[in-house]
Amino acid sequence: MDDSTINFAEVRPWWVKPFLLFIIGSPLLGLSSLPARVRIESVFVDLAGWCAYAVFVWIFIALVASLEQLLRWLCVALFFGLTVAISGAVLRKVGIWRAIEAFTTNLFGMVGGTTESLNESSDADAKMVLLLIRVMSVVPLAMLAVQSMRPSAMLRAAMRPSHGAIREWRITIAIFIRVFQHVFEIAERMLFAWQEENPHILVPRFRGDWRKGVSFCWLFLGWLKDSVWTWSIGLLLQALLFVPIAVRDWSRFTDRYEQEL
Amino acid sequence: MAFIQELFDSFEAQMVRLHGLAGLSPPLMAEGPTSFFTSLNTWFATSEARDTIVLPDPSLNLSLPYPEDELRLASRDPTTFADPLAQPFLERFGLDAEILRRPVSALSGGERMLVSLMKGTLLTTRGQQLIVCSPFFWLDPEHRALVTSVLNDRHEAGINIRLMSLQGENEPSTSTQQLVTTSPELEWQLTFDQSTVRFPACTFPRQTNEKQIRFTLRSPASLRSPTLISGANGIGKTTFAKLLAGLLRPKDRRPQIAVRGFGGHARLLMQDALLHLFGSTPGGHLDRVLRHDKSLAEGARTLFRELQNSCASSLSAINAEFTIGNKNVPNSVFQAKLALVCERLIGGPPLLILDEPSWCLSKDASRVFMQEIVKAAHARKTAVAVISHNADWWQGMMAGHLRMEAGKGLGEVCLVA
Repeated sequence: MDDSTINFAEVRPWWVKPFLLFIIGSPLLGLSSLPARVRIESVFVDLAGWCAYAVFVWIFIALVASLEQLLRWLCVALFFGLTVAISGAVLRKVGIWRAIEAFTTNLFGMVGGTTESLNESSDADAKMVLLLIRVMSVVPLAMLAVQSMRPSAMLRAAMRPSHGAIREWRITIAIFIRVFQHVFEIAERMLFAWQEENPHILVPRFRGDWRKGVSFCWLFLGWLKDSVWTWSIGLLLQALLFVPIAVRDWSRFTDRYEQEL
Repeated sequence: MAFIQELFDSFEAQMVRLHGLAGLSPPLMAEGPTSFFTSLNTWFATSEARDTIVLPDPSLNLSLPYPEDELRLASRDPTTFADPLAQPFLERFGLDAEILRRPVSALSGGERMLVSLMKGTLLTTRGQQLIVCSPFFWLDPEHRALVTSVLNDRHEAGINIRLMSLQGENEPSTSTQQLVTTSPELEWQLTFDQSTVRFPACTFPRQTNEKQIRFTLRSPASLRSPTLISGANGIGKTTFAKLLAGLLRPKDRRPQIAVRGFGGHARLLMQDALLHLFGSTPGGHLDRVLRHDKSLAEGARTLFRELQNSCASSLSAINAEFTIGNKNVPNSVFQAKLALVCERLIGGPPLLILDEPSWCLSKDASRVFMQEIVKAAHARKTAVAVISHNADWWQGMMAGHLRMEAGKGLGEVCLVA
C-alpha cells in the first residue's frame, strides 16, 4: 500500500489546493510571526521556530505525497541548500555577498522577509543555517505545489474561450508549469543514470586518486562542484528539449478543441 | 499501394533527412552543449511544423504525464477514433487500458512507443502526413506486426504515412533458436529462486495501483556470454537489468551473478543511453567520470581509441561509405555508446548489460558494435548480456539465451535459461 494518507489529488473544489498550499507556505513569504532574519538577541529561539516550521512542512508533505517522495525531495533540497549555503559562505568571504544582499533586498522587498536594513553585527553563521533550513522547507513545498497541478486540467482551463491575449497568457503559464513538472520527471530518470555511474550517489565510483595523500575534502568539494554543474547542464538541456514538444502538442490540442466547439 | 518507406545507414543521416522533409529535427545530444544550443533555433521551430512526427526516442513524443490524458486530448477530432481508450482501438496496438492509467515515467520503452504511435495516428487526419522514425527497436515481433498493420490501415484511410527506419530495422524476425553458437568464450552464473520488485500504489499526484513483478528462476543458471535476454514488451526486462545492476532493491532476495567465482553488481547501459551523458560529448563523458582516477582514465581513453579504430575498419570493410562519425558529425550516437561502454568496462564489472544496444544504430553498425564490445569485454573477463527484441540481428553472435516468460500469476515472470 501507499504510505501517503491524504488523497490530495482528489481535493475539491480546485481552489482548495492552492489555498492550502498558500496558507502552509505563508511563513516563507513573510506572512507570519516567524522572523525573516535571525535576531542576534534570540538566535536559538528563531532557529528553533524555523526548524519547527520545516518539520511541520515535511509532515504535511509526507502525509500528502508519501514519506518516500518526501525523502527524495529532501535529497534534492539538501543538495541545493548546501550548494547555496557553501557558495554563500565563499561569496561572503570575498565580500560579494553584501552586494547581492542589497540587490535582493531592493528586488524582493515587497514580498517580505528581506525588508529589514542590513545589520552589520548580524551573525553570518546563523544566517547561513537559516538559509539552509528555509531551502529545506521551500524546495519540497514548491515541488509539491508544482506536482499537484494536473496538466490536462490546466490545459483544459487554459483553452477555455476568452480574450485572445488572456488565453495566450494562460496557455503560456500552463506550459511553463508543465516544463517544471517535466524537469522533475526527467530528474528521476537521470537519477538512475547517475546512480549507475555513482552507486553511492554522493561519492564518485572512480576515485582512485583520492587515496594518494591529497586532501580528501578538497577533492570531494571539487567533485561536488562538478556534479552540480553536470546536473544543471543536464537538466537545462532536457528542459529546453521539452519546450517545443509541449508547445507543439498543446497548440494542436487547442486546435482540436476549437474545431469541436 | 503501400506507404512510403525510407532506409538510412545512421541515425544522424535520418535526422538530416527529417530536417529536410519537415523542417525540424531534435538536437543531437551526443554532440554536446555547444552544438545543442546552436541547433536550438531549428528545434524551436517545431511548433510550426505541419506534419505529425513520431521520433525515435518515445520520451520526445509525449508531453503529458499520463497517457490517457494525452490520448483523450489528441482524439478530439470526430473523424478519427471516438474513444481512444475503447477496447477495439487498444487491441489494435496490443495495449490494455490499465497501462494507459499509469504515469508515462512508469511505462517501459516499448509501451511509450506504442502510446506515441497511438497519439500520432489520432492527431493525423485525412490528407495530412504522419512521419514515423525508427519505431521498431522498442517493439517485440508481435507488436511490430500490429503497428505495421495499423500504419497500413491509416494509409488506406487517406493519411500519408512515411516510415523512416534504419537499415535492417524493419526486417522480419526469424526464430531465436538459430542464435546459439558452439563456441562459448566466457560463462557466468545467475543464482536466485525468487526476486520481487514492488512499485507501490500512490495517491499523489494521481491514484495509481500497485505493481509487482516477481522474477523466478527454477535452478541456478550457467549462461554463456554473450547472452541474449528476450521477452515481450512490458514484461520487465529493464526492471530485471536494474535489479542486477543494484539500481532497484527487491523485496526478498537479490539475484546473484558471478563470473569465474567473482561476484558483484552488473553495469548497465540503458536503452536511452544518451541520458547517461548528462549533456557531454563522448570524450567529455570519459573526462568527467574518470577525472578522479587518472590511471583508469588513461586506460579508458586508450580502449576508446582502439575500439573506435577497430569499429571504423570493420564498418568500412562492409561498406566504404560507413563511418562511426565524420567531419559533419564528430560525435555520433555510435561513439557515445562506445565511450559509455569503455567507462563501464574499465572498472572490471562481472557483467555488462546492454539494454537494446541497437537503438539508433543500423543493423551492420550494431553487429560491428557488439562484436568489438564482446571481444573487449571478454578480454577483461566481463560477461555481456544483451536485451534485445531484434534477435535475428545477432545471428551467430550470441552464445546463450535467457528468455523471460509470463508466469501463471499476475506479475509473475519466469526466467528460462
